[in-house]
Amino acid sequence: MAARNAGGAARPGGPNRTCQFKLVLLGESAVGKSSLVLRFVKGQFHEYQESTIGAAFLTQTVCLDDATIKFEIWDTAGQERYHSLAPMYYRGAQAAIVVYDITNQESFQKAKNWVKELQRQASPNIVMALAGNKADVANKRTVEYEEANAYAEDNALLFMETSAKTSMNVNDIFMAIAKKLPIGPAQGEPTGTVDMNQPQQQQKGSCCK
Amino acid sequence: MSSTSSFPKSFGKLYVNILLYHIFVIWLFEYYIYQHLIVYFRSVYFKLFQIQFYSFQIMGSFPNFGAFVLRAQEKTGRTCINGLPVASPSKQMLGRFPYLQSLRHDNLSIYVHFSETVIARDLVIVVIEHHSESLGDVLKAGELKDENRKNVLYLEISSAMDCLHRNGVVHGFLDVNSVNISKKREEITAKLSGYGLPLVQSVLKSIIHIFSFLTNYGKDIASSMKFGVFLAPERILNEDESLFLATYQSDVWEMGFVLLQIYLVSETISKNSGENICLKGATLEPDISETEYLEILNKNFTDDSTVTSTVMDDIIQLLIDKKRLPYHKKCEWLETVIRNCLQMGCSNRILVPEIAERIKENVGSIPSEDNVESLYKLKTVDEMRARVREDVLKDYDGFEKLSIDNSFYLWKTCGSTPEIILLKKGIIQNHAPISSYPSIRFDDFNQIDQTVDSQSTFEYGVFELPKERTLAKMEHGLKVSAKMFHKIGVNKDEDHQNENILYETASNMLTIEHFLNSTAVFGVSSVVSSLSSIGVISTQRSDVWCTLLDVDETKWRDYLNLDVLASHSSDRQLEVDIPRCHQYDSFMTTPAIQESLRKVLKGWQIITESDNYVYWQGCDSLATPFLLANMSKPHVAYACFKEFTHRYCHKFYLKDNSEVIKEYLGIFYHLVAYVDPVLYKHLKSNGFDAELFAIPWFLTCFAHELPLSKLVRLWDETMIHGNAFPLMIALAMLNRLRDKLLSVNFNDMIIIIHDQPDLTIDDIIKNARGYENLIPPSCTFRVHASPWKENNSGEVHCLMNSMKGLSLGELAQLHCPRLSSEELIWRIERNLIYIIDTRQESEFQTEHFSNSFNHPNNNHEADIDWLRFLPGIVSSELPKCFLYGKNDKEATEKLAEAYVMKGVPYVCILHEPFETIKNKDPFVVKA
Repeated sequence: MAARNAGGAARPGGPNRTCQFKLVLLGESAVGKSSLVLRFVKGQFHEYQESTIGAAFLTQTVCLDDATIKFEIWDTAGQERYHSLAPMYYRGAQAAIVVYDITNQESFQKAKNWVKELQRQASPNIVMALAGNKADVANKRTVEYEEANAYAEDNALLFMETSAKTSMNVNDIFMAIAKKLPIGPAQGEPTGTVDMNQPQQQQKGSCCK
Repeated sequence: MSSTSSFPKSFGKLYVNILLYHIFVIWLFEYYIYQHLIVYFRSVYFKLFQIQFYSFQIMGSFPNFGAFVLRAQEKTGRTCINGLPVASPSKQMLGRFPYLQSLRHDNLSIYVHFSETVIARDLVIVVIEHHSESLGDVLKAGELKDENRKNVLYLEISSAMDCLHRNGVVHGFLDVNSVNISKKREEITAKLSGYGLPLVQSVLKSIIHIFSFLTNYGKDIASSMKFGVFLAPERILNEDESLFLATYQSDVWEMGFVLLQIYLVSETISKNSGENICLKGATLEPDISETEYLEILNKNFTDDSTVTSTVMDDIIQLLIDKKRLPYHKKCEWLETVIRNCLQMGCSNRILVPEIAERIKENVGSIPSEDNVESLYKLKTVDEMRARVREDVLKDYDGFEKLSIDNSFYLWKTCGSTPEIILLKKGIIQNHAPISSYPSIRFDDFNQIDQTVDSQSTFEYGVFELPKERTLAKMEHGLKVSAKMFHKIGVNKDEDHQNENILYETASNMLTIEHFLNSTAVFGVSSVVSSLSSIGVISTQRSDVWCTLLDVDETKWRDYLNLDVLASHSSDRQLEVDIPRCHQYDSFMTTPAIQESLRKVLKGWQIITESDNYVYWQGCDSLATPFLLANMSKPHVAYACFKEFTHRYCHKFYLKDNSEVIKEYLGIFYHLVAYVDPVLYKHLKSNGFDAELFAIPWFLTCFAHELPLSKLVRLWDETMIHGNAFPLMIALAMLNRLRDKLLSVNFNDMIIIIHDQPDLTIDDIIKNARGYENLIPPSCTFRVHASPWKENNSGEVHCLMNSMKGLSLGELAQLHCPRLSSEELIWRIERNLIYIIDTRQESEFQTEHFSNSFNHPNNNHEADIDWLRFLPGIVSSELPKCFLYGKNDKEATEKLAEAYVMKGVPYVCILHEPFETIKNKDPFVVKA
């Protein structure tokens, strides 16, 4: 429950609106995408987290001052071969976390590719965050904080170094995304469903009920 | 009481006593009790009597198991290159154990079990086939009378050592006490024990560690059992290094001493120097002290390795001096061999294969009454019958036929573990943590008077595990006869439905073994029905899978020639995937098994690369069960993996597999529509596509979704079915969650389907079988399906199939499966189908299938009332096939969809229009 408590000012039963947002995690394999989600949703960490095939789906709710935000999280497979499935998951997503491993320079390059792809293909208003995971093994770092930070600023991304193992910055990055999401009065269709047939699906904006 | 005379003679005095007692009791009954009571008691008594008789038989042939404890040294704080902690020494040993366990030789005691202890992280328990007598005992008892017996021992020991060395295993612990002796009737057989293990003994009051295979040449081990006095000189010299190696050469030295001791032993009186000395039970050990031994070594020691210097003559001389040399028949060739074994310089020693060769030359091969070759000599059926009769007459009790692994499996089934037994007997003692604290500690790190250096201590030596419990359970409530072990040809319902699970298991083991042997003659199909009713026992899984997958050495020959160590484009991916693959299984956490998995996957990639196959995440999960079933044989695991994926995951691992997977998922949803249209509608209307949850199911054939214990059971079943069986399993998985899924929306659906902790595999198997019977085989047609077909299924599975593949768009448009016209005809012939003909009435009148219903398709609307009107159709599980004319295809597809969406099950559509169906004439009614 640590994750929930840390999710901001929790005010159960308050007169908040509940908004659902679809969030997708992308990045090279074994950088810790599933571990970040597991830490955020269940407060757990497994040293030997099994590889993800296709994608996994979880939800988690965080509370902001004026709204409750329910994340519908798609945790995708990292291996390059599963790339062709990715559009199915990021299409229509309002938020994305691109993850790399700070001890692996290659995964950072890969993350940049994902950012490019999202800028090109995903909905234009998507809130993107860059997470440099495995910050607990900073002594083996090959990607400097400044380098990643500069890149994030150039591309207007949220950026944090995280550690699913120690839970450092895990809730924070989700909270930061939540705060940037448009919580408007507009009524939208419930998201969550993944549309595989309509590549040109338009951004629905917020979806509060 | 005439029947008693038919019992075999071999059950000994105790039995005879009981026999007499029983005769006496029954005699009393006969005289003092009413006639009808006698009859009753007799029958009851006779039952008891038989059980008793059987228990003696079992005692005779159920093997003994011995357990011993090793301490693995903890090296903490080390990490791998990827930052994960290095596997503990006990884990590392666990991974190497299967290889040791796989060694088979008539003269090796077989290792059957290795486990880490729960109580102490650094203790491990090894279980090995055990015989209570050692060669040392036999020598002491003076039982080695004649030269023939000695010759047999030379042969047996040298050939066992030859086997070890050829397999790259150093014994490290060879002396007369580590050679067990198995006695059967009058024969004695040598069984080398404790090979490949680390050993420790205080020699000259210091701890010496000796290492070999299992312990990575000792790097993982701190202490273990005692070993003999006559260690090779180089091992004693290295004492101060505290860690040093047992080598092939040191084995030769120690083997020399074993041979020498057999050679010199004499049962009677030696006539030496005119004195009569009783040397019954002579062994070198009490006659030559450690000091004397070291003196001899010292005398012969030389720095110059080119100088040959053997200690044999000094040993003999010393015995002569002490007047302890027994009388023995001089044997020149053997003395030469031993002399060459006992060379001070390692490099001057003879090698084990050469010793084995020399001994064979001079002794000849062991005469065997029962060798396999004699079987091949049988030419006629009559001869074979006679042989079988002969075998039956021998007093087999069935257990003799169980392999040692199976016997240990039965032992384990009785509920105890070696660890619990060793704890109860005080062999392993657990101490309070405080007892491992030193009394004095100074300067931060120095400590003295530490009485216990680990929280647990244990006694050295091999301890025989009790087997009474197993045997008692086996006999419980049974009338047992040797024949009953074979169920073959016996109607299962007749009298074998007893509740003795242990006995049933043993019987099943033998039955499966029999079937596996019979496949060579009768083919795999003969096995299948029996396998699915009996179930597979883990010790036999490797053999069963190989048989079902038709894997033999031709299938792995290519793998053995590969360079699986060369770098490969998938290296990085394997490196990150393998350490997190099925990590809840203790074998999968060991470096040795992970390395094997890497080799299997790499080998598979190199070989299938030319077909455009590549490693997909998930292949690791899929290959794991095969590796765990064949831990010491990665090449077999490779062959099974390749064949299994060829059959059940065909083309899934192509570089571009999207066509294949999408077709598979499309067909899967058609089948959902066929068996459960209500659920199908719900899934579809929620946008809950198969892509979102079923990719890992099919891509890994459930290996990524289910824990291994459940998975292997599922695969046991899968392998006896056709290539569409994974679809049936998926239907069963979906059906299990049906009610939950129907009551929730998209988000919860996804969460429910990804999390199935309480899944009962028996139910899944049962339902999957049910679906296979329910669904017409041609409905599972896929263009990309494996060309492999099981050949034991029914006629309907073997029909021709003229279906063509659909484009992915067409597949998506369709909401029910397609039926082939061949199957349609087949079903019409047997009245196993409802045909709904959607052509206009006029066309229908001109020509139509007999017993078909006309449903002119005017508005694409489903008319449930019309359907209800048809006799029996609503309650029937037979397919309802929509039939169309050449211009009505799309319209009929719409109509079929409408019926599916109204919740009508078992709807399918013919794959071609009425006009083009071949061979339909006999079944067509014409105007």
